[in-house]
This record gives sequence, structure tokens and C-alpha cells, in this order.
Amino acid sequence: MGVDLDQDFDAFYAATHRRIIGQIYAMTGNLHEAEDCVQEAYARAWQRWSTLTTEHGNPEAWIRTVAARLAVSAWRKTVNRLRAHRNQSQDTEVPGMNPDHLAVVAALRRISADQRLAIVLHHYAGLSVEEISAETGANPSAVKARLARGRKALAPHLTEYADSLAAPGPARASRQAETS
Amino acid sequence: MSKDFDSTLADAIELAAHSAQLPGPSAARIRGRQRTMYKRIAVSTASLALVAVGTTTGFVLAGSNGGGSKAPVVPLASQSVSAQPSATGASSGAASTPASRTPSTSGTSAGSTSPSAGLNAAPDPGTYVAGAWLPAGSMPFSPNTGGGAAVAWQVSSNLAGNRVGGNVFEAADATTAETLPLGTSLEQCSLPGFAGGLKGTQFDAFTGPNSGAQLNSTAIAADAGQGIFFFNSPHAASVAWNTISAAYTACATTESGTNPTTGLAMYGFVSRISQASTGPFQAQCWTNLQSATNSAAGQGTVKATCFVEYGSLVGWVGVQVNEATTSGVDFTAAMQSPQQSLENLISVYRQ
Repeated sequence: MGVDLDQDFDAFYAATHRRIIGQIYAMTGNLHEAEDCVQEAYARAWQRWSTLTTEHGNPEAWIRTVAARLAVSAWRKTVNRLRAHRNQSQDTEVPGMNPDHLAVVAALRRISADQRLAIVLHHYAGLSVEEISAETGANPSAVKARLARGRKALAPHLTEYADSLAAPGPARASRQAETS
Repeated sequence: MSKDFDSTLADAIELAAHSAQLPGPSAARIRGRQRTMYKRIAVSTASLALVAVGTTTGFVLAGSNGGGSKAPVVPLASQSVSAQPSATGASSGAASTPASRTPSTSGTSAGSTSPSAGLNAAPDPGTYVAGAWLPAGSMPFSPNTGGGAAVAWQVSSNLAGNRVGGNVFEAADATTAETLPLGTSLEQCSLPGFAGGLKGTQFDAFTGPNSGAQLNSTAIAADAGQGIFFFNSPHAASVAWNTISAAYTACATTESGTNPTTGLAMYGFVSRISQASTGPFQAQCWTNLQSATNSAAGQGTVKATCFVEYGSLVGWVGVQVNEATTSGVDFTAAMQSPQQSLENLISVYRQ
């Protein structure tokens, strides 16, 4: 039984880890911080893995939520003592990022954490308002407000993206209708 | 040609994901087991301490004044604050000429009495004092605070900090304090005087409701909040206080120019909307606007913030307005009552 849990966790980790790190990177703008928050979230998930997979139903959402909360929580400084895997290098630069990528990530840092998370979950992860509501614990109207306000708050910092922020693209039309 | 936000965001996220270091699931399991072990140690240590106290000195009731080296911090019991908006001929909008308010004692007497239980300990950024915090109804543009609006602010939780009580958080460090939801109302500017002697910062935040946050045809009241900077001494607070006006002025300059990322012209503009000296309080209120030319999204964002200096503390209360074409938006009227309320509440700390 123990081996099964280990293998199950390993497979889940391999399938989801990079994806969640990327999403949390969009929350923090710092790759190293994202790596650490996500690893901590997986560590917490492991502590309750058997119940997480049977009762919660969506471990990936659980881990992403925990990592996102850690990313905005200052108590993390006390967790520094427990970092077992910290790299020696403090370089957090992401290779291949161009000015557009950096501008989007920097702009996300200028809006509230709640808005930032809603934007990433909706615009990147493709979650619906209801799915974001279930994952974050906020009611659907609050999620809609966060998305609308988040886009409006981003617009002054991403003027070249004003049209795509203001109007839905073909692939997002149905989801945008929920939030307008 | 307009760029696509979703595509750029996806590219950035996937680049980061591809670059990420993967310590592996084994490391996560080890870390998880360590967390469990540390928790058990902490519980065991606390249990041993209780047993030691119980067997050697007898139990000491929690909250008694007999033990400990530090006097207990007692939150005020139900201090009521009536926000009484003052009708003045204040000018409005970020582009107005600065207005100054002559000192008076009436503003500070609104709705407050001397605390029935003062705080004897030095103000501590790690300790929550419920009586020092404005409720949502005392934020700018609330129904009771003037400014011609009736925004029903909602508590914004999950802030970037360590929750100390209620919805109040302690910022991780000075850098974090300067980039709070409202922070010091400076977009990308720092307050150099705030680093010296700053021992901590507390803050909260509110977001605008789904409807009823419109201030004019384009301006939306987006966020509001309060904060308190805790300094090592009144002198340190005074030094920081004197940097605020210079910092805002310098910020307007640094906010202006060509954005190196987008290539667009950005304009910064600040305006002092009031200042006063009343008894133990100093107050100054500012707006700052950052906008880009030819912005399809409107005129940018405007923040209005009132600072209050009181002993070793500098408190602030502020609001952020999006899509800020500020015609008809009376920031001065909207900030007056919150500033007075802040003075009333921050005085819960004996200075």
C-alpha cells in the first residue's frame, strides 16, 4: 500500500509539477520563489496524499491553491529553515523571455493577488468562473469582479494588449461571456 | 497592431515551466515528513513546558497580569467612530491646484473618546490592535464618507503578509511594504526615508463591489485600504514623514518618460490635496496619476492617500481608482473623513 502511494504521488508529480510552477511564476514573477512555493505545496500534499486523492477529487487544484497562497504569504520566510532543496544560485531569470513576456509578468505583479490568480486561472489554465470559484473559495460574482477589474487594472500597463484584454478572442468567447 | 494577452501569458508561463528546476517527488516527500516531525516537536515542547509550570509554580491563568516580562496588549472594547464628512469648498481631481486645510480641533474630535484601556506596550507591528483599524464603511467614497459616491467596500483577504488579526497583515519587509495593494500610493517609487528606523508595517485592503463602484462615466473605485508604519522612535517617524512630499514630487518625475518595455510615453502627476497639523497629529494627503498617451483603456490609475503621523507611527488610508478620467471625482472630500477617522483610531496607541 505504501509503495502504491509513493508511485501514485510520483506519477502525479511528474505530470503536474512543471505546469503548476509556470502558473505560480505568473503569480510571483520570480522563478525560484515559484519553485519553492510549489515544492512546499507538494510536501503538504504528501502529508495528506491518501485523503487528498480520495476525498478532494482534484489534487492539482489543491496544490495550486496552496502554492498560490504561499506565494503571497510572508510567513514563508520562516520556512526558509526547512528548505531542503534550495539551489545555491539565486539566478531566477527565465531563458527565452522577451520584453513582451516580461511586460506581462511585471504587469501582473501590479494588480492584487486575488485578481492575479483569477486572471492566470482563467486566461491560461482555461478555468471557468465556477471552476475558479470552487478552487479559490470565492463566490462566482467575486470571481467575475476580480477578472473584470484585473483586466482593467492591467490595461494601463499593457497598452499594446488593450484590444485583447477588452474584447474576447475566438477561443475564449464563451468564457468571456461569463465575466462581462 | 494589438498583441494578444493570452498568447503572451501562455508563452511566458510555459517558458518558466520549461526552465524550472525539479527537485523531484522524493524531495517533496522528505520535506513533508520534516514538516510533520517539526509539528510534533513543537507540540511536545509546549506540552513539556505546561507540565513544568504546573508542577513547580502552579498554573498561571492566561491573561493575568502576574507573569511575563511584557505588559499585555489590550484591544479597545467597541470604540465607535462616527464618520462626519465635512463640507468644504475643496477642489477636486488629480489636476487641481493643491489645497491646504487650516488647522482646527474639530476634525479630530469626531466620534472618538479617550480609550478606556490604553496600550502600555510600545507599538508592535506583530501585534493586532482591533481598535486601530477603519471599517469598510469608513473608507473613501463610502456612503458615509463623502465624495459623492456610495461604494460598499468588501474585505480583501489573502494579502501578501502574515495575518496578525482580523483582516490585518504584517508585511514581510520594507520592500513588500512599498508594494502593497495601495502601499504608499506610489506606483513604482520608493520612499527612501521609510527604510530607516522602520521596524514593521501592518495593512489591510478592501476591493470595490461588483456594482455601485462607479464614480463617473469611466472611473471605478477599485481598491481601498489602510496601513500603519511602525518606527523605532518618533524621531525616525518624523524623518520618514519629511520625505513623503519630496518622494511624491520625485515620483512624478520618475513616473514620466518612455516606458522601456512598451515604448509608450508615460506621465506622472501628483497633487497635495491637503495638509494639517492638529495636536499630536500631522496629516498630508496626496493623489498621484500615472497614465499613458493614446491609452485605449483610459487615463490610467489614480491613487489618493492620506498619511497621518502620530508619535512613532505613520498611518495611511487610501483609495485606487481605475479608468481614471477624474472629471467630477472629488478626492479631497472623499479623503477628509477617512483621514480624521484614522487620527482618531491610531491614537489608541499611547504615544
